Amino acid sequence: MNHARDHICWAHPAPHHCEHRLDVRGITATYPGGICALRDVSFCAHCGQTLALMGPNGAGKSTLLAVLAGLLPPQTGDALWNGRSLAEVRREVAWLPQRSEVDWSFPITVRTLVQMGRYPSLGPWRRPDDHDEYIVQKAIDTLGLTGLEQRCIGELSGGQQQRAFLARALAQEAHILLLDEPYTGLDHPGAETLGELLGSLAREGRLVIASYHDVRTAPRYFDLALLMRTSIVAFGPCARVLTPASLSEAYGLPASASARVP
Amino acid sequence: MKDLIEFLSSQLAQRSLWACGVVGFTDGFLSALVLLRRSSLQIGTISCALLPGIALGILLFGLGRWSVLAGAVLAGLLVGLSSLFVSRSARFLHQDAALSVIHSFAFAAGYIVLMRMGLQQKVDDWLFGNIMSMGDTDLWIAYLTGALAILLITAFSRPLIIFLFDSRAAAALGLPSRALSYGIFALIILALVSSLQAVGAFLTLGLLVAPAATMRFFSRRPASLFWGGGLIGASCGILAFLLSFLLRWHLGATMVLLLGLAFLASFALSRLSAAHPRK
Repeated sequence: MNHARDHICWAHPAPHHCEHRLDVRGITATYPGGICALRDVSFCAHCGQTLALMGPNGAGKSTLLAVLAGLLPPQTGDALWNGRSLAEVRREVAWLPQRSEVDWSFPITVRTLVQMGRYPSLGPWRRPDDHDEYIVQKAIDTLGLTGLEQRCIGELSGGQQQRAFLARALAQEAHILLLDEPYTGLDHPGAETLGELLGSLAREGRLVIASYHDVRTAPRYFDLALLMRTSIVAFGPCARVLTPASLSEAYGLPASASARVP
Repeated sequence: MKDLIEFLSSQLAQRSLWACGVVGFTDGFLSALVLLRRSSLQIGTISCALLPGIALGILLFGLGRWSVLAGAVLAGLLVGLSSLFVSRSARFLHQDAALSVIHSFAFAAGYIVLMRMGLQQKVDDWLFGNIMSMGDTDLWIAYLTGALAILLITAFSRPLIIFLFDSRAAAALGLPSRALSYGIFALIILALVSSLQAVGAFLTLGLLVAPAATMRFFSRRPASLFWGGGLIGASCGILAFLLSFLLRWHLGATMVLLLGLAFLASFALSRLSAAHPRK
């Protein structure tokens, strides 16, 4: 099955040799009104990695996620997945909104939410077949939501709500998971659970990219960090990137104070 | 009671009763769209802008059935322009304030123009509705709107629900967000036009929000909001027609009154069942 090479396809497990690669090349993006949100952002990451986008408020973290998700066309530059433009392989990318952007009063059940992830394969009219049902159920089970399928999303706890959206991304069989502020509003055990979960999803062969705030705990949850302030300040393994010098450059603080950056 | 039966045997009454049911169903069905799109405030603006829109339509095309439709489209454009203004003035003014000023300004302007044209009676009909004055064309517009709404929403329910839930995630999944958003807007404009003759610009807002809001307390699926909203709208329309004849109340107002009562009853029931959960 040729398809299986390009997807994490649970029904037809394919050998996975870390060959999937995201190349972001020279992305510049402007918001309406002419404010430059991203300037010449380039980096490269592989599946199996977790990447934290870090920087002060307004540094362009959410904008970079929006560009990668195809929500905002960049002015210049492009993003390639295994050499193909991300715009051609839209279903490989799953984008998870910030908690505050979701309408939690919307009347949908967990199962319906997860089924939405099958839309790129099904389109508007095709009926879900056994394979689709299998993927949806497996996504629900993997994220520990078994038994909650018929709950409305507003009736879940914060952690469960997050996992329901992750389950939608898994049902999409996406390779790249883009998460906007996933740790915001979680308590310490909740954050630990999410950290482990994202780590295990990455080890299965996905690339996890999330915006993140806490400099001290970043190395616990992420392999790589991209420190930015409109343009990239530093990129690489967390330990190499989150140094006092580059932090002070990103946050605009004197080097001595940046060790204690929130 | 004998009066009622005699009245119901007349062709005019049967036609009006039928119109009440159809308009009630269509508006109730589409109220789910308004509710899930979170655009009740915007619909309020459009229904107020209908008056200046119609005035513009008559100025441009003369007085006729279709000038009302053209007017409603113009009203939609006015609202589009005003929302642009609202977003530009957001630094200084909250959306509430900006929209309220635009509402009443547009309404006042439309009222003056229409009164200057000597259309008092028409203005009354457009403001409060007059179901007896619905002509064949009006009825056909109402039928077609209802049929179109059911057809389109059923055919596109999968992408529609994803879009209504989260338009950004829908765009990320590759759905045509812009087309969906314009399609929804067009359907709501059509519903406003078809219920303008029946219940008027003021009361239409109630018909386009209340039915789905009533269902919301007991609904776990969007589909039940659409069909339940339609049924509530239709039954309140028919009941209101009978009541308004017996009690000599204004028909449109009776419709919205019944819908409001249904909403309150549904809310009270949901509180009760929350306080005494079944085992």
